[in-house]
Amino acid sequence: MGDVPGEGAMDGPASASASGGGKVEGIDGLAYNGGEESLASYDLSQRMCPYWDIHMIFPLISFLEELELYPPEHLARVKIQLLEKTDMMDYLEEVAAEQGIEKKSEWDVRRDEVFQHLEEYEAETAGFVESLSKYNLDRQQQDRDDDGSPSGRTSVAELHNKYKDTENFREFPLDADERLLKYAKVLFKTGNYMNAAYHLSIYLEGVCELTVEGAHFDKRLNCLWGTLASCILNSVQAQQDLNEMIEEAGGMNGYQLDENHPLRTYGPEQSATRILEIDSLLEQPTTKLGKREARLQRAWLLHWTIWPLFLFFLNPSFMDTQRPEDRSQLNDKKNRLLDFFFHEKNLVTTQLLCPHLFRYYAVCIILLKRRKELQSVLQGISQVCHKISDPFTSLLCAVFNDLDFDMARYHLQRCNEAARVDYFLQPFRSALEEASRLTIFETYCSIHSAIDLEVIAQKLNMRSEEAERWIVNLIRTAKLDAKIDSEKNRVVISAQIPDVYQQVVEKTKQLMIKSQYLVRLKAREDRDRADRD
Amino acid sequence: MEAGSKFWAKGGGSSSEESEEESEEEEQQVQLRPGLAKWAVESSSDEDEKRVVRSARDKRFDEMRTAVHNMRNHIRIGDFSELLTDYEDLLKSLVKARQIVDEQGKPKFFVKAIYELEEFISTTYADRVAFKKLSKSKAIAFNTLRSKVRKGNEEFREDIDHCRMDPDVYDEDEEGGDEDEDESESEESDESEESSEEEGGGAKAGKDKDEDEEDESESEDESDWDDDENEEASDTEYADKHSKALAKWGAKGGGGEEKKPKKTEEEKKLRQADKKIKEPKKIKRERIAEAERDMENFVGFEAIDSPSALKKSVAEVIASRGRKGTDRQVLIKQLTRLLHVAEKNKLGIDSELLVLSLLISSHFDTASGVFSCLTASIWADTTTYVDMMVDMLKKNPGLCIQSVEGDEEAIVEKDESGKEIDAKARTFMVMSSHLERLDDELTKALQFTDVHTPEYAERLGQSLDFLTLLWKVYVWLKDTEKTQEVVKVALRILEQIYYKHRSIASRQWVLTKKRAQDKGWESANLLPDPEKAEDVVKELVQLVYQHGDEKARLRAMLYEAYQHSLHDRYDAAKDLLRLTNAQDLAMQYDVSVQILYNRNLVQAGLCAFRHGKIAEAHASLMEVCAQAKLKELLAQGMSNLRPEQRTPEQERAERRRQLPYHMHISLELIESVHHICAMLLEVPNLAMQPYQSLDTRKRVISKYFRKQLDAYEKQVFTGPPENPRETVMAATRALQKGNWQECCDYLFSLRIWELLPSSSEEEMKRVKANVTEHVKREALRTYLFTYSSLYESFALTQLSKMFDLPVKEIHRIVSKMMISQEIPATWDESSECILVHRIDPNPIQYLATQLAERVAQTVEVNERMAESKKGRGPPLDRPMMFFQDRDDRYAETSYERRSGYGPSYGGGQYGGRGGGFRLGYRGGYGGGRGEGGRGGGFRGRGGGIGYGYRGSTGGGRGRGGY
Repeated sequence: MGDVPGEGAMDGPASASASGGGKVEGIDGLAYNGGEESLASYDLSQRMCPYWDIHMIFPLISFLEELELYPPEHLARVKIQLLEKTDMMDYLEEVAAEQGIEKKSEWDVRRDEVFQHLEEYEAETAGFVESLSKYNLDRQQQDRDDDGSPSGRTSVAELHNKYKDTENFREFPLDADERLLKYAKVLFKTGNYMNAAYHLSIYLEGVCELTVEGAHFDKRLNCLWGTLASCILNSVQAQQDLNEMIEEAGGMNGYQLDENHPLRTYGPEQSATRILEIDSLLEQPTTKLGKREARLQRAWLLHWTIWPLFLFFLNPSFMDTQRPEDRSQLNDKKNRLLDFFFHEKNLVTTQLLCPHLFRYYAVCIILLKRRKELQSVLQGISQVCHKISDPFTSLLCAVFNDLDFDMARYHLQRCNEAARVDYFLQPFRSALEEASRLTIFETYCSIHSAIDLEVIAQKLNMRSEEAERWIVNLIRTAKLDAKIDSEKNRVVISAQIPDVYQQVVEKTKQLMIKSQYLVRLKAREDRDRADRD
Repeated sequence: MEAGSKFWAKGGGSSSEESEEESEEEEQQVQLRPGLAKWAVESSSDEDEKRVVRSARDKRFDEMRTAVHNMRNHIRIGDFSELLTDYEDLLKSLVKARQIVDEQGKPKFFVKAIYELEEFISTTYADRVAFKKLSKSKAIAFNTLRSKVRKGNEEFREDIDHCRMDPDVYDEDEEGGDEDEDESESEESDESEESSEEEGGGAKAGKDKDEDEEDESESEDESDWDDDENEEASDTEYADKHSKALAKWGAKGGGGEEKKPKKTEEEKKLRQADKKIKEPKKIKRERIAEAERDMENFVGFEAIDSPSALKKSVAEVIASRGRKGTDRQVLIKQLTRLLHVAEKNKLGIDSELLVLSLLISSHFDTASGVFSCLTASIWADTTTYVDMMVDMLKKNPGLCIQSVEGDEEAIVEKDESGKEIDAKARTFMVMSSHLERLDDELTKALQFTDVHTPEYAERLGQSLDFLTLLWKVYVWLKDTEKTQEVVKVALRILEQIYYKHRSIASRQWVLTKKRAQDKGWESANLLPDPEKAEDVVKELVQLVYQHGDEKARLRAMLYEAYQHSLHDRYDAAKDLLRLTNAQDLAMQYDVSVQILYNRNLVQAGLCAFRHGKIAEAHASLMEVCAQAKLKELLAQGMSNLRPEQRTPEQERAERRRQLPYHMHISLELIESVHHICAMLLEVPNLAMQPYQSLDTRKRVISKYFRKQLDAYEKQVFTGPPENPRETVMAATRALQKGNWQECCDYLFSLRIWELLPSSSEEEMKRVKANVTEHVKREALRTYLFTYSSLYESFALTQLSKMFDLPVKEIHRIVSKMMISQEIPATWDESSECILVHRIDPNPIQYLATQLAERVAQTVEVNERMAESKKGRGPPLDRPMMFFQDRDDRYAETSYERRSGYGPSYGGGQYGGRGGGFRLGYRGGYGGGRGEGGRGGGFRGRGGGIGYGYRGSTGGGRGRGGY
């Protein structure tokens, strides 16, 4: 797996795989000593880490440290191993000091090198970035004058020639585009994700669009990976800071993010955009990746998607901090991301390469009631059930495949435990439990005409009165079409006989739109024909 | 001389003249003797003249000889009437040959024959008891014969008496005295010797040639002999003239009768004497005819004493190779000889290797053309030689096959122009190509041998020997850097073992070892442990993965997947096939890879079936079965295409890729399993249809099965099932009624259960139990679909009893049907009772639904039409197709099937009834069927594939209302 988003080929900071071997080692380290056997078996981090960038593992390790699932010294050792592969020298020293590990002399050398690189690259690229933006402005101006016909790409050398005599010109070398990438990478490696994201965006929007050098497909893809990694890590970092701040302030108090908050500039929304971009890039027939490589990268992408999706988009506490005017946009992004996530290609990839991801598919289905994709996910799960044993997928199978509600109850309990040790699910454990319960209950109702309250309470791991209250709530919020028969202590489900009128309405509802579409299509064809003639 | 003197004594009244002659002749004989040896070697110039004389004599004598031959045969079977004609023929031919007989005397074989006949008659006559048993007609025939012979033999009484006195003389004479007969006989024996030898050597092709050569040498010999004769004749010119005069005289005069035999006798004796001198040469010729020819061919071979000289003669020998009219057999013999020489004269292992390599090549030359193969014995010889070669290379790592001088230039040239091939690499290439050729020949042999003959078993046995050889090479090369060769060898080994289940594979290794030990091969010890047959495959596959090129890796992967399927590791097999994109890859390579892939599909399907994964099994098998091209796709028999559908080249190519019988997967098994799977999936699907809205009702799981079922139902009289297909159809009928017991009975009456690979007794039982479970489940579903409209409620326990399923299982199945809204029913609160909710819509509601559906369809059709206008989509699934030209055609039909869906919708849409959602399924189905086929007419383009589908399902809606 080590060679996915570009081992050496990738100059963007997302050179996760540059340290691929180390990750596996580190994760093996985890494997030795599961503190609590059963809980550790729910932990997917070992399976998932190989698909992530090295920097993405640190938040996870911190989470695991809190869980105390694994011996802390083990985790610390892994952490140091991994840190040695990054340029975050201060953090490394800190951790090492905590563990009482001797500071290595080479670390200092490296720190100096890193600083030197940073300064060097910054100086070299600043001029380039300025010239580039100037060129962009000029071009836009020119385009406007020339009546919109876009001009061709330039090259770094041309750029240099063009602006070297203007005032305020800052010298830049002729391979400045390469240096810009290197600079971003160093920034990323030192943990300065926001700056890295910024520089990569420049590269993506400037160099890739305007110059010959950046037109290359591979560079673009690598850059996108890099930006994605930076955005994800930046948003995680920012969220953490935000949480700390809120804690200090003692509550949200209607706090809303300001315009330039890192979570807004390079946050989940940007991550989602990048993910979709990479997706479309991977789909392009011009990719020289080959089928296998493309599939591998897709698996990576899916693993990375989980970050913004679960940590932010599905996380109610994040959505709450957003300004109302942003929410609709965010919701749109969320839906697009989910559509991408559930795309058939991705399901196939998951099935073939990383069946453990079905946990997150199952969670999405339970949580969001995505019945549309239920069948394909169930099918996928049944294809790989010999490879994985996951409480969430088992729950899904028990409820929808086997209709075995006793089994479902058992899995429900396991799901709770599993959610507790899962970095991504942990924030909305209770919501998840609720949703699972509802799923079971709905299914149960749909095949019964009447239900004994006692029975349902038992099946949902609830006390009788609690269950009654819960059901009453459901009926009240119109989630359930039923009545409670107090005398017999049962719930009577209203018969859902398909109404003929309803059916007719259903069938004809779409016709209007479809016909309009056809008419439009026809009109366009006619127009095309006219144009040709 | 003794016989002569007796004769003389008997002949009583001999004249002095005659005695004079006699002595003269004796003198001549004495004169002749010293010269004989010379004559035997040298040929005289006046050959032609004598030939004429000889052939006249020949002709007459041949006639007589035939008659004698017939007579002997008839004596053996006691056919008296035939004997009579034979006897008359014989006398006639003697008269015809009178001139010659006068000249040379009566041929001894004639005397002997009539003597034998007389003896036969007298013994038969003497045996009164036996004689009396003869039928009347036979007795009459015998009597006629007897009198005739008595009368006729009177003339030759003297000779016969003489023969009776001393049959040996005549015996010997018959062989020696008449050299012509002798000649032909020895020729015959020579030939038969030769041909038996050849048959031993197994070269039919070489036989004619050999005979030619034989003839040549024979005629040489003959001419030698003729020389003698003629020399003799010319020398005795005087005597001849004299004797001619005498004969004339004798023929006229009565006493001449006696003189003539005397004279003949005399001459014969002379000849006999000659013969004695000739004898050694003859023996030599007969016994070691081959050696003699060797002398001719191998002139100077023995004297070769240096590698360069050897090379030179090898070059000379092989120069004729491949030329028209070259006798391959001789070439082989020459090379064999050279090999011995090289060995004997210690010309160095290099030279031996050189000759050996050429020898192997020339062995391969004996089989030409793609449909002929090396005979078993030549193959065995060749294997031995290759084995020798391998040994040599193994023992002498630095060794390489040199080029023959003559070829040197050519090879050098090739090296310059092409890649740099050093001699050593070339050596290994040659060796591995020899191995591959051997394997190919063996495969060919197995392909073209009838499986029921012992020869097939023999060939199969040889494949084990070959396996030993391959394994030996593999073990040796494994540790060298000859990765290319190892991969080749590994693939060849895999090809021999991949389709064998571990139990069979281990037996195979045991047998291989035994055979190798019986033959005293050291390599027997190298063979792998029979218990680890599976590991062998793994090891080889890993090796190919490491070093092979892409195609080799693909093959290895397919072998591995096949093994997984064979050993019931369905998931592993499936993952392997899917992860590696096997189908797409297989399509890129040649037909043999595709066949291998198809075999994999089948095997995976069977494996899934054993695991009870009916849907998977069906999906897998359908790909190969659905087009009724199973035989073709698996290369287990020729496709039944009409001649105009393919060119002779295609047919030949197809014949060539047939798999040998022992690799076949039972077609009956595949088809039956496919049918069973289709039945289990399709029957509930068919029953479910009335509950579905129109667009989901279109769901067809197996068109093929529906077609079959249709045909079965159309039968006027349905007799008891006669073949596997009908059995499954009968089972289907039972299943449609929900009668699982009967269905199972039908299914288990099939003979396929023993054929399921890897089925031990328990295994078979397990599979059967599994199938029974499935049948029960599907029967339950079908029953509920079919009859739920008649019930208000079902009791769980009752269903459980009916279908012999646990309550929990029934709960599960029914719940699932409810939740997927397949049946309009719910459980009551105790979950013990199924409540069926049905409300029949009133007529106007019904019509409204119909209308809505119809309108929706119209829009859909329009949409599809618009879409299809935009461009045809590529076919999504492409089952394996072999013929490039048919690929396109397939694309057509596949497209038809896919996007032709639209037009077929049209059929339904314009079609009248629209399949009432309340109508009983059967009624709607049956009623519309007659017109259904016509519904396909809308499609404009008819495709054989599409027809059945539309005919049966589209037919459900017919087109009555249109």
